[in-house]
Amino acid sequence: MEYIDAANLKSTELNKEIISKLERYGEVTVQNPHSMHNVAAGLPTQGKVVIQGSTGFYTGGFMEGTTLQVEGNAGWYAGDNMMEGELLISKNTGCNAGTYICGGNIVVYGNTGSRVGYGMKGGTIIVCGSAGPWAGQMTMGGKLIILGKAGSKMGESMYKGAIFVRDPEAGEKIGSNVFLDIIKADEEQELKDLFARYDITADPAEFKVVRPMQTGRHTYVLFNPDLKPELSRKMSV
Amino acid sequence: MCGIAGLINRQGMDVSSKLIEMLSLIQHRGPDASGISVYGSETDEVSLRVSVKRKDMEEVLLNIVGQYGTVLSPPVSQWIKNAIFSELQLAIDDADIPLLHAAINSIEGLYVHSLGKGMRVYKDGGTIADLNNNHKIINSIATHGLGHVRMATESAEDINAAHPFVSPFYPDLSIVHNGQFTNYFNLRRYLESKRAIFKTLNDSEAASHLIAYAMRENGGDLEDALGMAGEELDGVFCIIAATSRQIGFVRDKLGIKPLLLFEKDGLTMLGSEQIEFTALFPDVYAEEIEPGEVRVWNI
Repeated sequence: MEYIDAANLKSTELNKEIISKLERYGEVTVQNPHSMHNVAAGLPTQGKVVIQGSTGFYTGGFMEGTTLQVEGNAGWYAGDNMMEGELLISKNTGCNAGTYICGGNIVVYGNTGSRVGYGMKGGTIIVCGSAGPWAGQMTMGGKLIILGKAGSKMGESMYKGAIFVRDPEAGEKIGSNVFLDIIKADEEQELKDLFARYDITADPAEFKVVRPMQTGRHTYVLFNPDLKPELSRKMSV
Repeated sequence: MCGIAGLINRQGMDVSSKLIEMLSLIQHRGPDASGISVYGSETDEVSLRVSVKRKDMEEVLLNIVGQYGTVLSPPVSQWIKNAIFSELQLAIDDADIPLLHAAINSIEGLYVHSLGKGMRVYKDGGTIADLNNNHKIINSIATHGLGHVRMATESAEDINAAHPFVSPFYPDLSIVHNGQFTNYFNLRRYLESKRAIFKTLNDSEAASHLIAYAMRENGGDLEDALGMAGEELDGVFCIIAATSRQIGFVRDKLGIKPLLLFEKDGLTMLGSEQIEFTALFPDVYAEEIEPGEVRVWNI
């Protein structure tokens, strides 16, 4: 196992070190991150990165296939703009976790702040604890799963996508253009597989789903790009 | 940006140095100015802290103070960069405090930073480290306080545009603000019609006059005043406000500007970022304040 001591590094230096270790060894553990911002942001590689500690804002932003594990808390905008990959946060995150992601999986084992999954276009976010207000605001796809207490105004201005909640008071906490639906059989199976994969004990049957209303008042076309992350990937490990 | 902090201590603690520690952890939110206001246990001694533009104006200041009260100790003045900060203790009737505050502010070149019993505001341009090094901050046991680091967005970088702000409408009130208001000029026109004296072009100064005016009119109800401010102020904001008996906050309805709360061991802490709380507790999960929320604590 390779190690990097981040105690005296700036985030640009740290990220360069991480990339070079990943190219050579395929995995690396970072120690003493001391809540630095931009840890593991913009990693153009796959491979496995473990952070022993807490990180600041923009942790693991713009990931293209890396598996990143934060054994502490992460700050705002964790895992934003992820194309594919995996981000696992052992404790809590700040607001806007998983903003604008296109693919990949984010699991927050603790609580998260407001606006989790803001504008997400694909991918999956699982929050094991509670979420703050405006969870899943303006989503255009993807799946957001909240196991704990939900915040107010969930799914506000959603275009597409689904938010899975089991908070018994979910009905009073949804946004203005969404409704609470029952879970479909294939969705139940997807949740079952995800929970097994990430060691989460929960019963998919307890979940309801927040979906946007199709009133027909607005006609819009969602731009659905054919994402080929493997073509944009600059290096494979 | 800007960063704010609030601290209530119920067990005897040096509030000013803890606030400075909290603010130094969010120094990245703004390097332009910083400031704290601290409220101690009630004494009968009134403290005045003023910024004075030129040395020869100290005479003018003492004359004005003499018209409303008695100076108890000679003023202690410090030259810091390009400004003079004067502090003095005085005896004055409660009813005369707002009059003295307005009288000093009406002179160009004099600006009251704080005027009140057991209340002190320390503010200056530059970082928290500068504030701590350059100013003799009286570190005594206090009950509560608030603080601010500034990134100038709506007006110039000027020590008088540093927060916390106070207002002659209710001298005991100090506020800090993170955010921007868009209806500054309408507010200013309204407040000037109520005889507010504006010393800067800063939107947070307008908020301080607005809230202080409401406090004067409603008999000192901070919760009511902050609720009104949340409705009247157009923009994005988190405001922490305090008097010697109360401290509270209001957050804008869209929750655009951050505000977190953490309470433990008799301490109540407010802050823009979770990392501020590590000044007192190593690993906390702070509650995010609901958008549009107003809450006030009685001290």
